[in-house]
Order: sequence, then C-alpha cells, then structure tokens
Amino acid sequence: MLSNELKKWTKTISMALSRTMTYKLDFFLTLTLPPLVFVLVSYAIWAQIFDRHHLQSVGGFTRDEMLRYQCWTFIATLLARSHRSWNLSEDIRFGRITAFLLYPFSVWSAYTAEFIAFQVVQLFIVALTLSVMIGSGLVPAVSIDTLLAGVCVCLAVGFLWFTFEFVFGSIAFWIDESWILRLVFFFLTTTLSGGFIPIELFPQWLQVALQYTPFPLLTSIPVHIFMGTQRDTLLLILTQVIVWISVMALCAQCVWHRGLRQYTAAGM
Amino acid sequence: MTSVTDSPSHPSQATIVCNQLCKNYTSSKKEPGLRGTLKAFVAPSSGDTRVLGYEPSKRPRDLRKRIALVMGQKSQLWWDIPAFDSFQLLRRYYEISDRDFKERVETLGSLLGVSSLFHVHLRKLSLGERMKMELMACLLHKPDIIFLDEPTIGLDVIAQKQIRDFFSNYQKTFGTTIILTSHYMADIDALCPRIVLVLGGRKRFDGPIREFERILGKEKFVSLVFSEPVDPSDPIWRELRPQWGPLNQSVELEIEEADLREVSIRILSHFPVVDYSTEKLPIERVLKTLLANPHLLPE
Repeated sequence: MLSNELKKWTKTISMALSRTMTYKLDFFLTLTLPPLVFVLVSYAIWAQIFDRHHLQSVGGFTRDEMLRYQCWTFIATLLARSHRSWNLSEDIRFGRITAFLLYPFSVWSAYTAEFIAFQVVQLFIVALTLSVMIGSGLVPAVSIDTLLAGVCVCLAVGFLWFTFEFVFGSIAFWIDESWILRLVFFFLTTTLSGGFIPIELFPQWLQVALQYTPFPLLTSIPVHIFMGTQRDTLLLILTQVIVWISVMALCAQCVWHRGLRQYTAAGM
Repeated sequence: MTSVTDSPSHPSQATIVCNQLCKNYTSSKKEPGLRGTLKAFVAPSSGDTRVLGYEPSKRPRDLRKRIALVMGQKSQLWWDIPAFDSFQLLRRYYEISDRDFKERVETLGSLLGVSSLFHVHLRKLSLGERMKMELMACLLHKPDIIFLDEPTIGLDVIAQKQIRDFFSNYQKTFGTTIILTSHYMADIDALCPRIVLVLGGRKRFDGPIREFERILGKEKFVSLVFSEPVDPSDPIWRELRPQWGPLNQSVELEIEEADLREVSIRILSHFPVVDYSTEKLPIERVLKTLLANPHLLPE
C-alpha cells in the first residue's frame, strides 16, 4: 500500500521533471528573466539613489548591503516563490482538474508532486546563478552553514507559498476570472514580504504588524539569513514556517472541499 | 437521453449508454446534471446517486479505480511527452501489474492501430490518433464504467467509424458499461440499442431505439427532387408536413408507412419527379420534434 503510494509520487515527480525540461530554453528564460530584470532594475535604482545623494545608509542598509539585499532577493524568490500552483485557477476554470478528480491520486498530491519536481530544478538554477553572482563579486562568498540554512528556509517557505497560492487559486471555484485578483495578491505579498524594498524601510507600526503575519517569511527573513543579519534562530524561523504551512494546508483543504461542491467541470 | 441495455456477456450487468443531445446540463452552476453527477465529482443538487454501490460525490478511491472518463474536447494525456509516458504514470495511479500493463498496451495498441505511435510526442499526433491514445489511457485499468464525452467530435468520418466500431466491439467483449455523451446521431445509432429520454428532470421515454424512432408515428421520411419548380399550395402536400427546398424544386415529406405506396404513386404521376428516396424518420428529427413539443411524449 505504502509502496504503491510512493510509486505514484515518484512517477508523478519524474513525469513533471520531464515535462518541465521539454522546452529547456523557454523554461529557463521564463523562470529567470522576469526576476533577473527586476533585480537589475532595483540594483541600478538603489545604486543611483546612494550615489547621487551621497547617502551613507538607508533604513540601516549601507550601499553595499542594499545592493546585496537585491541580489539575495533574486535567489530567495527563485526558491521560495515558485508559482507552481499559480495555474490552479485556470485549471479549475477550464475544467482541467476533471481528470485528476477521477484518478485514484488526489489533485493536491499531484500538484504537490509537481511542486517538488519544480523545486529540484530550481535548486540547480539557484546553484548556477549563485556561482555567477559570487564569481562576479555581486555578493560575497558565504559560509556553507549560512548557505544551507538559507536554502533550507527558502525550500520550507517555498512550500508555504505553494499552499498560499493553492488557497488563493481555489477562488476560481467561485469567481470565473480571478487573474487580476491573483496579480493584486502577488504584488501585495511581494511588497509586504520585502520583495520590492526591505521591510526595514516601512513605517514602524507596519513593521510591528508584519511580525504577526507570514509575509516577512516569504522574502525578508530568507534574505537576511543569506546576508547573515537575521537575529532569530533557525529553529524559531522553521517553527514559524511549519505553523503557517499547517494553517494554510488546513485552509487549502477546507476551501478545496467547499469549492468542489461548486465545481461543474465546465466545458465537458 | 440514456439508453440501457443488458450486456450479452454479463447478463446481470447493465450497460448504460447515455446520450446528451441538446441541453448541456452541466453548464449551469445551479443545476449539476445527471452526467456530471455520475462522473463522480459534482454533488447532486437534491436526492442521491449511486454508481457501483458508491456515492460518487464523495469520490471514494475504490470507485475512481473502477471508472474512466474520455473527453473529446480535452486531452487528459500530457501534451509535451509521448503517450507511452502518460500510460506509465496511469499504470502507477491505477496500480496495474507489469504483466497486465504490457498485455493491455499491446492488445489495445494493436486493436486501435497506434502501436507505432506510442513514443511520438502527443502534440505531434493527429486528432484521431490522439483520441485513440486517450481511449487507450482510459482502458488500461479495465474500468467497469466508461464515461465518453463527445469521443468523436472533430474527427473525420473514418476515424469516427473506427472509434464507434471499437467501442461496440469492446463492450460486446468485456461487457463494460458505457455512458456516452454525443451530439452525433450516428453515435447513437451505432452504440445505443435502448434509449431513455429525460426531459425537465423526468424520464419521458424508456425503450428500444427503434420504438423511439416511431414515437411520432409509423412514418417514412421521403425526399423528392423535381426537374422544375412545383406548386407548394397543391392540396396533395397538406397532410405530409412538407419541408421545401430552394425554388420549390425539392421537398422532404413525412408519410404514414401504410399510405406510402398510394401517396408515392399519386405524387410520381402528377409531378416531374427526377429523384425519389425514402428512409425511416431520422432520430435527429424525432428528437427535435419532441424537444419542441414535449406533449407528444406519452405520460
């Protein structure tokens, strides 16, 4: 029984890997270009801000620290916010989940297995990108401990983000076109997680409020781990991530089961 | 519309061939239809449904292992990989043994004539070839019930016939229950020996397809072509429900079987007929009439 389940998971993961790698160039560009462009623009803007106004620091960040922050944001984003369940809304809307509803393997399991496959590929891309960044001096070399801690937190946060998107994607059961909502959700979470500018630049009251949300976990905390400026222990951070994953997984189950009652398998 | 027939090889097992012709029951969010409900994922708006003894809306895993769905408009196989890779995945999902998998792939591949295409990427196959692969995928685990949703849509006439023949033979061999949804009357004629008509949520007809065809009376459908325009106001046409063609040079009539000989002779002797053909009233026309005039159905 367990062995059969394991075989279903491993086969789904290996299939997802082959499908992901079918269009290698397209896949690589889709994955890396948008965040790369974003990080280059941010890098250039912050460099200009510091140089033109001869600033020593902004929000406690020196020029070099701010530029490194942008580079590490790129790395953290690649691992922690993979958008693998971004398409769930479309799959629901166009009835593409129908087949999986009938297979003796749940939709959640299939999506999760595909997410794992995707993260495996992401790890290779991150390794490559990081080598280039360190080699070119964009970021200083970090210790193995720091790197492992950062990657470990990013992978856990990646799963948290996956459950986030799964819950949010499920609104397609109730709303036909949720693209704009998802886009708003993406920009909101990116902003509140410190993806655009560091959380330290936000007003004090907002910084305090964000401590009680999962948003800093999505970008700010992993970036600070990579930069060696994170004050909380790894254990505490991972505990927070696990708690939020449990909450979101529970939400995902509830929303999914309620949503299924609305599902009409449009287009059949 | 649902047709029910006993399977010759498994007399105790009912074979259901369900056909939906005009109304898309599942298109309404408020009213999930019979078809969707049976397909094991839509909760019924009222009442309950049983499929193989299971409550389908709860999607029990044992039930899911015993049913299959083929959608003509949606591919279930993965577009970017060869069909055989998809089969391998389905083999894991349905826990099919190595021996059974190999045997079924060989048998179905040769029956459908697609063995040489197993390792071609799905996106490179023609629509007909893809549909055959879809059929293979749905039959690998030997389901007890197969839901076919427009399996012949968009296919050329040869591929349509191949699919119909395949299912007809498959059902006869294995006694599998098939629920078919199709807008093509030829699908019904080929696959549905018995029909149940459901209108407005009520069963309005249940019987052999030949009886259904005669529900409007024992009438023949007669087509005539004339060498020149004829007068449509002539009293001879009055009782024959004529459907006139362009320039009144052709007409389609519905003539009582008993009166066919006499009426035909009268028409042939009075009008310049150059072509004459007769057939039973097409099922499409029967259905169209009944949907427009449900009061014609027996209560």
